[in-house]
Amino acid sequence: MKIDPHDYKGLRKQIALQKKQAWDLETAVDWSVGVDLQKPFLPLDHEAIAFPGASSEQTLALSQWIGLVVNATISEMEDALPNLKYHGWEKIIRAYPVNPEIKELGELFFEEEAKHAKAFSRYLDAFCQEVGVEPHELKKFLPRAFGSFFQAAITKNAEAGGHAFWWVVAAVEEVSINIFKEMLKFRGELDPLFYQLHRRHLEEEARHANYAYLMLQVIQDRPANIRRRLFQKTDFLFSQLVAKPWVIKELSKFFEVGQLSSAHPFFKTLESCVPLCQNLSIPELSRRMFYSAPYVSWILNPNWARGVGSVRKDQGALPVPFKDVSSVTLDIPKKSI
Amino acid sequence: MQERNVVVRGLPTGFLTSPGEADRPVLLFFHGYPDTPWIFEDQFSQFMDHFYVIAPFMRGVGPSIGGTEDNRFSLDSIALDILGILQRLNVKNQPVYLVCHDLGVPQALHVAPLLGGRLKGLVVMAGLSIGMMVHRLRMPKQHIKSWYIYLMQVPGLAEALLRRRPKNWLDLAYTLGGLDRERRPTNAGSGLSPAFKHYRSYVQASLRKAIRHPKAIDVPSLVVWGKKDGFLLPPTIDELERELTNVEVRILPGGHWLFREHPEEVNGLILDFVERIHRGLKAS
Repeated sequence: MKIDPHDYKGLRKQIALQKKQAWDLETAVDWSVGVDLQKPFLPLDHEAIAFPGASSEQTLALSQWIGLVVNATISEMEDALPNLKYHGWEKIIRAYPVNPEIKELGELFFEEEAKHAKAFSRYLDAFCQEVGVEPHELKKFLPRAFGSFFQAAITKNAEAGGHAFWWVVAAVEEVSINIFKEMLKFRGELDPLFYQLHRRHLEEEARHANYAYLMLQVIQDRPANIRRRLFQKTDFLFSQLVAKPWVIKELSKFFEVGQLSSAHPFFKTLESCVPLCQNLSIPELSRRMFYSAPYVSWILNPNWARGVGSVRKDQGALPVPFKDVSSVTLDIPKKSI
Repeated sequence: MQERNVVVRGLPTGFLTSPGEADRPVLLFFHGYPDTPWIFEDQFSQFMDHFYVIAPFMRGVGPSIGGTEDNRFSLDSIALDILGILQRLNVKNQPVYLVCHDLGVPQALHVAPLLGGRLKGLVVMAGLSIGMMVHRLRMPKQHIKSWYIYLMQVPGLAEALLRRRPKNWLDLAYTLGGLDRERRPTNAGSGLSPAFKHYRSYVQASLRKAIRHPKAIDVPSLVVWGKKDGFLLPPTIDELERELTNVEVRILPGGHWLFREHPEEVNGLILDFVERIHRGLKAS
């Protein structure tokens, strides 16, 4: 995905398009429909990610849970962006030669991301209302980046002059687009509010998804010195190495969700799924999580993010030594969930 | 454009002007080396209908005789020469825009504060102030790109090399600057020898700290740079804002003589920049 940061005419067109087609959080999504707990949020594979033998009721709850995890992850990542704005972005564009359009596009990017974070957080609130728990109670069991080691490590890297931050952004953008592509195949069967929200999210992500690549290109084009070369070589790897433990730790919160089982049958059903997962051996669970579980392995295994992979290759950054996933097929049923 | 010659501060001095009286906004061009003001011919044809265009031959170039005193190549002396030309042309209260390239940049930045409120805008193309250049001493890659400046500091060496194959050295300069053969100036360039005295004067003065680093210039400034400039790394906002507080940077694909490689694009940027300032002046 080669983008020329110096094609200011092309960038001007993109700015105009993003401004014209930006959506409004209040009016673009019909929040009044509420969350439909009878419908799945995300289509699942035959083994419900890592819960072989799950009943239809359990599959529905797991689909909704993974949907909440995806929403919370995107919301947390996008919410964390403003904290990295100075070191991860402003400092870079001041220290490298760029046209003003890069700055304007960046401002739009951060604005849109903040809106997306709010939108996903609002969905979580709507879900809480439906199941009768307080948002802060539910969020205890969902991914949280703020204050994590992961966020601290990415911030330290940016402060030191690295750009692992942009590799994380590029990967999250690509995964979120891939998630919507799966949802699109099942649009009539999913919770309408969840679908609407992701469709709106995708519209803007698709328009500004290349901003992370643009920044990676700007960083690549800067005059190199030993320190910069070192960051260019290792930042991708670093971003993956600090993200993986965070994702695994955050996913493991699932095993504690039973604490809410008295609040709503949804949580009771989730609690009943725990033994299904525990039946899997550790190697098998790891294989699924890193290679073939939809959504989860997309985040855990960078080989699933092919756009990011190709930019990494172009830039000569060190890869994460995972096996190729090109032969892996996801077995999400095509007709019905 | 017509060539005129006058005596300024005791030395013959040449410059190009557009026809007509100096009642329009003034566009004052500062060329670099090994060029003459004709290097801006594509800009003259675009701007001479709307501006009073003035483009001096810098000291030591063409009709602007260098004289025997080395201090005639100092930034202070050149600034006085430029003010002398403006006085001769009766430029008094018209808005003035400076357009400078290469070694014309430190000269223009030295003149800028002396124009006071008349100065409305500054277009900088592929050139740095002395202060910025000194700051770049910390950048190894800039040292490599500036090898020729060091060569020029050895008295006699550069002259001796130049005497052997002057045309080849000129070709080398344009080749390193990324200027295609067909876009090189047809009227002979200034040659390289006038540049030696300028570079020596600036480097020695910098070492003696004799060059005053002027206060930051706060008129709107447009900086245009070729991404593949063979002599100077493209500047950053951090670097520029030390001396130009209201700056917009344009990095385009191209080399050191971007305004000759892509005249329409660069002219468009300059025109858009000047028009924006002009609209602002009218509105206020």
